[in-house]
Amino acid sequence: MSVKNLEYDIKRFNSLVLRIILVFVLNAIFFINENIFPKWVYFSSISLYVLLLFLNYLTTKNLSKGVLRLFLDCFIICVFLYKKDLDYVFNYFPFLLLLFNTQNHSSKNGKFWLFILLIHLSIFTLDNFSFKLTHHIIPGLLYIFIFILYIRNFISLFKEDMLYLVGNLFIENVNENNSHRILKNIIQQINSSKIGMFNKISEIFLFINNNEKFVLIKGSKFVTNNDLKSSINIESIIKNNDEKNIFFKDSVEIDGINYKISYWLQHKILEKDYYFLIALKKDSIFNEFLITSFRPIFEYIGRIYYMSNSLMTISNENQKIIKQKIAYVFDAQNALHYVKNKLTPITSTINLIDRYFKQKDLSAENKIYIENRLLSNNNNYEIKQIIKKAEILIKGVDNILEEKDKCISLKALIDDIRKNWLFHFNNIDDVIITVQNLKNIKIEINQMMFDFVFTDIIENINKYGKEGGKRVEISHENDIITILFSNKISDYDRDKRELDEIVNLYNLTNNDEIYNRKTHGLSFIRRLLRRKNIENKIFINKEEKTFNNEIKLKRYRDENISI
Amino acid sequence: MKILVFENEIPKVKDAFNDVNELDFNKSLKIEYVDKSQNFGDYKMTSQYDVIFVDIDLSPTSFKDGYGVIEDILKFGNKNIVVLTGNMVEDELKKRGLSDLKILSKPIFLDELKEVIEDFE
Repeated sequence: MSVKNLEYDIKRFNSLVLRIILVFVLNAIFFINENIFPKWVYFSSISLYVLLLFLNYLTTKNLSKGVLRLFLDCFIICVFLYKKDLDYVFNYFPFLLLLFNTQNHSSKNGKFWLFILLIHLSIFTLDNFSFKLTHHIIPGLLYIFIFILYIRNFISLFKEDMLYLVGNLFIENVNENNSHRILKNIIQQINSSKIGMFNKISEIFLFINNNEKFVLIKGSKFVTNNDLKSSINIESIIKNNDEKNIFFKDSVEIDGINYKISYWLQHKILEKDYYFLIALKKDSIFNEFLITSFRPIFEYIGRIYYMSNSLMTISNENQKIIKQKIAYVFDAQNALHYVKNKLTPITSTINLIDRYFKQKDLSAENKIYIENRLLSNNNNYEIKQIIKKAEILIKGVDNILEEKDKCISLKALIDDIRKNWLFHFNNIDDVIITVQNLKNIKIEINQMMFDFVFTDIIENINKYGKEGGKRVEISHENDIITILFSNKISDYDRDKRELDEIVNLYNLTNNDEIYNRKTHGLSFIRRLLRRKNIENKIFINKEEKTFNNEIKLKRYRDENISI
Repeated sequence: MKILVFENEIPKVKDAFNDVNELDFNKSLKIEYVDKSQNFGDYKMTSQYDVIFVDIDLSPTSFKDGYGVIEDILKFGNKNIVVLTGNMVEDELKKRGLSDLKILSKPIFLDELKEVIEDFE
């Protein structure tokens, strides 16, 4: 930026206050100095000046008003200063007034060249058309004064614009996880503004102090390795420094890139410290002035991140609560569905009892039928199982997993399998055990969880298995207990495609697909075992045409291992 | 009276149907059970049944779920369908234009089952 480029609002140049002061100053010059012209020339000139100014306000079109007033100002200054000693500084005061007004009111029209031209022409005229360098240097110094005031004004306006911009960016992106855009936009705005002529910002990073280690939380640039190498060891400086809102120059390395000219700005927002690292492109005497000028902008950004972070924390907590509620509803629906399905045999039994005792016209034949039905049922055990399972389902899988592994004998575990097997198939011959001294083998296990796993697997065998082709094999080798559930597939040739698909889905790492297909039993087993990091797979034996579910248990498990 | 039952867990409902048949219909019901949509065969034959019970949640190895089975049955003109379910399916049936169908909720009560079958006699 140069003086020529200064925006000069000629329309607002002639303020009423300036005119009044100018008239007083000119009168003072008249009384202080020796005057060339007779008195009446000065007084009639100033009267004419005031009159023409008045007419100028009333008549002239807006566009040319300022220019005419500038001519009038220069004319009256020339009359009063003609052949006066310009080495006397007070005599420059009228020019100072013109400059001061220019600085205060310049904004739109770039007519500052006209202003300079007229001032220096006036000085040239006052010097009796001879060029005296010293007389022209004094207004030159005034231009520098104007320039500094202009910059101060500009930065102030720029700060306001930036705060507005940052606020808008935040509002636009409040629901998005792209708040890094604020930093990128700040760089873009600063670099493309007039401030960019002094220096440009290359990157901005935002750190927080986490247990006396700086952690990068935002950056205008994506960073893969956020290890910070600081030339001044900023972390220890901050650790030993109780002062707030510190400001340091530094040379840092982030993600392998060296930012030689960088400045740290700290802002404490409530209980949280934010550290901005502003990397500049070049060294300049204006750097510190610029960075400190931008301090309010960065404080505002810090506040926004703080607020954004607080909102996100609340939002995450809400989401967690909503997820928990959804999971609860989902689990409750599952439980209800499970209970309703399983209760049919029990309601039938109750209905039979009702009829047996209440139906007066029940025939002897029907009575015998009901008696036989009731004798063959074992609903007590089933009701217990249904209620127990429903309770677990309604509380969710996590509830089962919360139960810690306990050291039990392998016999106790196998007894659970036998109990379930006996209930469904009325025999225990198909539970084949090839392990000696069951009582002496101890195993670390969540027994409740396995009760559910065994129940579900055996129920599936009961539902889908072929008569006569069901078995469980329990073996032990190298501290690993293998439990293999196997059942003949009713119609292998017809179902093999669907069964292969289920096997593939079951053995996938991601459980969602199989869960979506409503294979509740299978996905329930799988979820439990995976969460406990227990090796489990299902496979089809094509030769034997069997569907197999294999569980491999380590005798001693590390409780901490879980997926 | 011929009855067809599409049910995933046949053992769970079989007793209820047998009880009703024995006690209320004097063994006059001929009940057939199918656990998967593909196990029925030719759906033209569904028109021969007096009432068809369809469980909405069929086996995962079933080609079609209960809704698919109902659509196939309706194609061949038999509207004597009863939806068997342990879930709330009214809204879904309405969406699919099947709100006219009777619903028998699980667990099945013998008297309710008897009344539903009697409605189609």
